[in-house]
Amino acid sequence: MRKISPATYLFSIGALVIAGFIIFGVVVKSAPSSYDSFAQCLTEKDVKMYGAYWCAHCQNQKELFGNAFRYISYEECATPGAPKVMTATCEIAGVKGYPTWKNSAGEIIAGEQTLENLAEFSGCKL
Amino acid sequence: MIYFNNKRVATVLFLLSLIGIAISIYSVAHFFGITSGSICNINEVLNCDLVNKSVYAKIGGIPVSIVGLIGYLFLAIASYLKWKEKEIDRGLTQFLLTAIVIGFFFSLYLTGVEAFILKAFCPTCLISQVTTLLMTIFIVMLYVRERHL
Repeated sequence: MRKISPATYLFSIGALVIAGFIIFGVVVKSAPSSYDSFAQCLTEKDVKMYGAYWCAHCQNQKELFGNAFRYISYEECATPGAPKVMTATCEIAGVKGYPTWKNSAGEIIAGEQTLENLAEFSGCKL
Repeated sequence: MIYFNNKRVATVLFLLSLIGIAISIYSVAHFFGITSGSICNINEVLNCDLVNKSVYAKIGGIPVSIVGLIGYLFLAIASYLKWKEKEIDRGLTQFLLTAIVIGFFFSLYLTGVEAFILKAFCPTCLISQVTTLLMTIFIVMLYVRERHL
C-alpha cells in the first residue's frame, strides 16, 4: 500500500481550519443581536458615540453591543498618524475622554457605559 | 550533502517557527489583557496597545494573534517533519510553501494596516513579520533546490 505523506494530513487539517475561520467569521458577523432595535433607536434619537480605535474601553463598549454596534452612530476621534491627538470634530463636540456619548440635546456622558445607563440617557427601551 | 542541507534548513525553519509561536502567545496574552504589554509600548509609533487593541486586531471576529499562532504551529509541525524525513518529501515542502505564502501575504496586509492606517507599529508584530520574511526566503530556497534534484 502506498504510504500517505504527512503533508496530505497537514493540507487537510489546514483546509479545515481555514474553512472553520471563514464559517465562524460569516456566522459571527451576520448573526442578529438582541440589541439591534436598541442600537437603531439610539441612532434614530441622534445619540452618538465618540471613541478611538486604540482605546480598550471603547472596544469593551462595542463588545457590549455585539453585532448591534453596526447600527450605532460612531465618530472616530484618533487623528491618523497621531493617534493620541483628537480630531477637530471630536474637540468641537466637547469630547474629553473615550468613549463619550452625546445626545441631540448636547448632553454628554463620558466613560464606558452600561446599556441600562444608555437607555436612561437616551430614553430608548432596552 | 543535499539531504544534510535540507535538514539544516528545516532546523532553522523550526527555530523560526518557535520564535513565531512565542511572539504569538505573548500577543494573545496581551490581547486578552493577561499581560499589560507595557514592555512593548515604547512610544506612539512603536506601541503594542495602539495596534493590538485596535479594531484591526481582529479579523472576522478572530484575534489576529490567534490566527498567527495557529499558522506558526502548522509551520513548526511541518518543519519538524521535514527535519525528521528519511527521504525527500516534496509534499511537505509544498505544504510549507503554501503555508508561508498565505502567512507572507497576511503579514503584508497587517504591515500595510500598521503603516498606512494606524501609522503605528507593534514591536512584537515587527518581529513576527521579520520571522515570516526569513521563513519565506528559506522555504523558497528549499523548494527551488528540491525542484532541481
